[in-house]
Amino acid sequence: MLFTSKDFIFIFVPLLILLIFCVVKFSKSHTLYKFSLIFFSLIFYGAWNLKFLIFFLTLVFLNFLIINFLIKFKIQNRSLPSFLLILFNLSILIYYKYFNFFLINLNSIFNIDYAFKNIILPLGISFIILQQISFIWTATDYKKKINLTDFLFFSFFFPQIIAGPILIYDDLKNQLSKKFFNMSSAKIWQGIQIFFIGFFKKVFIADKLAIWVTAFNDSNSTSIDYFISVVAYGFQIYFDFSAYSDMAVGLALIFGLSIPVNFFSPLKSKSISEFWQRWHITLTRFLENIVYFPLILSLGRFFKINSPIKGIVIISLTTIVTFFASGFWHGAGWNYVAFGLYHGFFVILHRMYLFTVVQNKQNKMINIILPNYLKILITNIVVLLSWVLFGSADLTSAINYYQSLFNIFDGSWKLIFSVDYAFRLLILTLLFIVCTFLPNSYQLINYRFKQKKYTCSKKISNLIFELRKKYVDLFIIVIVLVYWTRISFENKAFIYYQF
Amino acid sequence: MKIKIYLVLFTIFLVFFLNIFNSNISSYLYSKKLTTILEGRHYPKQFCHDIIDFKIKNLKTILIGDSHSYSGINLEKVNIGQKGLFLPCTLPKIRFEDNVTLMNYLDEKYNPELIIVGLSPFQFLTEGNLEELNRVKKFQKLLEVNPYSFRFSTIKKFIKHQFMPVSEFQISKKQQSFFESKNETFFNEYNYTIKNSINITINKRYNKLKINDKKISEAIISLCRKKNKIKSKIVFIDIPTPDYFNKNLLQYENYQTYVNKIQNCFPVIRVKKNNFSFDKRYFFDRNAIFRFTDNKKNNINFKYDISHLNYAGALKYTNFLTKELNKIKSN
Repeated sequence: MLFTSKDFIFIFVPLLILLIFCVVKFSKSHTLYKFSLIFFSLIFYGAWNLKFLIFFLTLVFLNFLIINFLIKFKIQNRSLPSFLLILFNLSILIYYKYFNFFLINLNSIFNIDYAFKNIILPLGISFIILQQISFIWTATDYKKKINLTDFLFFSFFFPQIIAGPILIYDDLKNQLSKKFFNMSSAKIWQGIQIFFIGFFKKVFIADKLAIWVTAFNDSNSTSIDYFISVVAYGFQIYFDFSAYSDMAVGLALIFGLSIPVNFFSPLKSKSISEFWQRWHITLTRFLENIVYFPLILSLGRFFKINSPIKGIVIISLTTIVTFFASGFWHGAGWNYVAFGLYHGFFVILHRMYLFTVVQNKQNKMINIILPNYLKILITNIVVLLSWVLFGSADLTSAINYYQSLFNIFDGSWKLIFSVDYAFRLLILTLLFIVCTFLPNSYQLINYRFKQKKYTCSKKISNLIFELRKKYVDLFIIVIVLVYWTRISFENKAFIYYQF
Repeated sequence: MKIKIYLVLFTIFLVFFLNIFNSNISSYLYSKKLTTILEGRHYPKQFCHDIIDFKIKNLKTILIGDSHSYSGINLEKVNIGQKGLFLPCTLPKIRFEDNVTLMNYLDEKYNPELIIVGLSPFQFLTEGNLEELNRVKKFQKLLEVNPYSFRFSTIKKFIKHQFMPVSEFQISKKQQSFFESKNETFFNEYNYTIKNSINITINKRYNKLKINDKKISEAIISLCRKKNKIKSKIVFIDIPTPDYFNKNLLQYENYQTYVNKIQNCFPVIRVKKNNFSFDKRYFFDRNAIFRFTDNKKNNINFKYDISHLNYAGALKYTNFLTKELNKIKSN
């Protein structure tokens, strides 16, 4: 069920709200409240495929039993079984997502001909498994047994089960015990607003941009087509994925829960390192905690860092491994691996630059301070070029794409002043301005997660306050909803569903 | 804050309940003939989705077929003075076999007094594999019953009709008067559009399509065999096409043979046989709605359509068809 489908908004949501209303008003039981949400979460996933729902329920129960069993033991004795449990969870992901990929490569390396398996990729498997792994990882330190209801809630909570944000148990732990998760009308309205911001981003921007992303499938395109396609694709993927995250945050808020922000104006980044602190934030957090930090600590201990160069080598190696994992997680293809390595390379480059600057504080030649807008522009160009790898079917197609993109003397750029191309470029430029200068969804609604509060400048805050007083927010939401109901949109799946 | 939440929830629940009662509301609007009939020419599938998804009361006559069917009938005229409802269930590019399947389906579901099956040469032509697959898929999709699909086309039509009522009958009249005000030279000015259509549509496309004679003959035999099992009265109609189309279409003779075969089992209302001539003006300016309504778009060029009747033509044909149907009914 898609968040932007009519079935979801006009059947699933009203039924859930009716149930929640009855529970809160009449039963007043917090446990029943949690059960209701779990039940609807199971329906949400089961509506796609009942078989896989049972499969994941079994996995979650198994993880739950083993973890609760391990909690009886001393913390230092839990590491190996936990590690094995993580490997087991990982092996499920590897089987479903990478089995055929490995087979293709084995066939081509050893010139053999093993038949491919017809494997259906379970929806949201990458996110579900990562969340389970993150739980097992942190549970090694837990002293108390985990509550089954809370664990089921954490594992299946419908707003984030299919495409994140990837939660860690600590994100929800304290909130889950509070009655109705401290639900309030202020939170509900915040949730509705951010849900519809995401809804607008997905239906009216991302899906519309998809029409301009043509060059990935059309080998007759020209350099300007390749350029427009990749820029449009960059924006499409951003608006699509961040829309999903906004809607997930919004839905969670409607039911009283705050979940972590997944996108925080990534186009405002002044470096690639900062980009990954703003883009798919919960994946970065996961990779930092599970791959980067443990690896750097182990390598540091093993090689004993006693010189800056050794330190740089170890940091670079760890960064590359982390980004390799990130790329490979995104998809079973060498183009995704290249995507990860590409970003890893630029992160290392940026860190080396920072290191050189620190080492040579007096050297004016090195210590050039670039203006922020230039940093933002350079970062965005680097990111933009990486979308070719992300959007291409394979590495060869990506290389062909780059060749055609940079074939700028093919005469096609003359068309830049034609109405069609000029219009597209104008819209894309406007989107760039919106993404780099305006506050993001979370700042607009003053979102709060744990101790962090997201706000925008005073001027904009005052303006939004005035608009809210005049019911402009309500008016926009109802107009968007009615307009969307009136016309028939084809429901396009979120891009990250495929991962 | 609470008021805002309630208003958003109210909107969501309104759509939720509207979807649940859509079938009843749509059926009521149809039975009272409160929706604008004209939509049939522009959104031909909408009627069909409603007929298939819902159970429309008082539906006495159903017209099925392809684009020639919905272009050839003036629905407003055909519904005037009739107690029962006359609705089209048409699908552009429908195949003959699917047309028959649809006939059987509607006979089972509604058992109406009359099912009019519109025929056209294109129904008997076979396109390339991909296009054929597409035709089949579209038909199968049409037959998917889902009364809770959030398809509020009838309600939308009703609301639209309250604010912008458009009369198909009036447009036909206006087009007729417009034609009468013009002399022969005016119409001859646009003869080049006929030549273009013959070149592009007939010679380069239709004439390259094939006929699977064996399959069609079998389908007709099977149809004739099942004649007694059909509860509703079935009448086939050969919707008129212009001479420039009939003369240039290579498969036109084959088409006539198939119509003759069908006529051996079912009544077929044919224009030629009844000595009813159509001149090419009735295929001129098919998009006349844009000229004769308030939303005037005068920049639309005049042209002859390759085979579909315009508003004036549809009115003329509807008058003729109504008389013929009455004769059949009285027999």
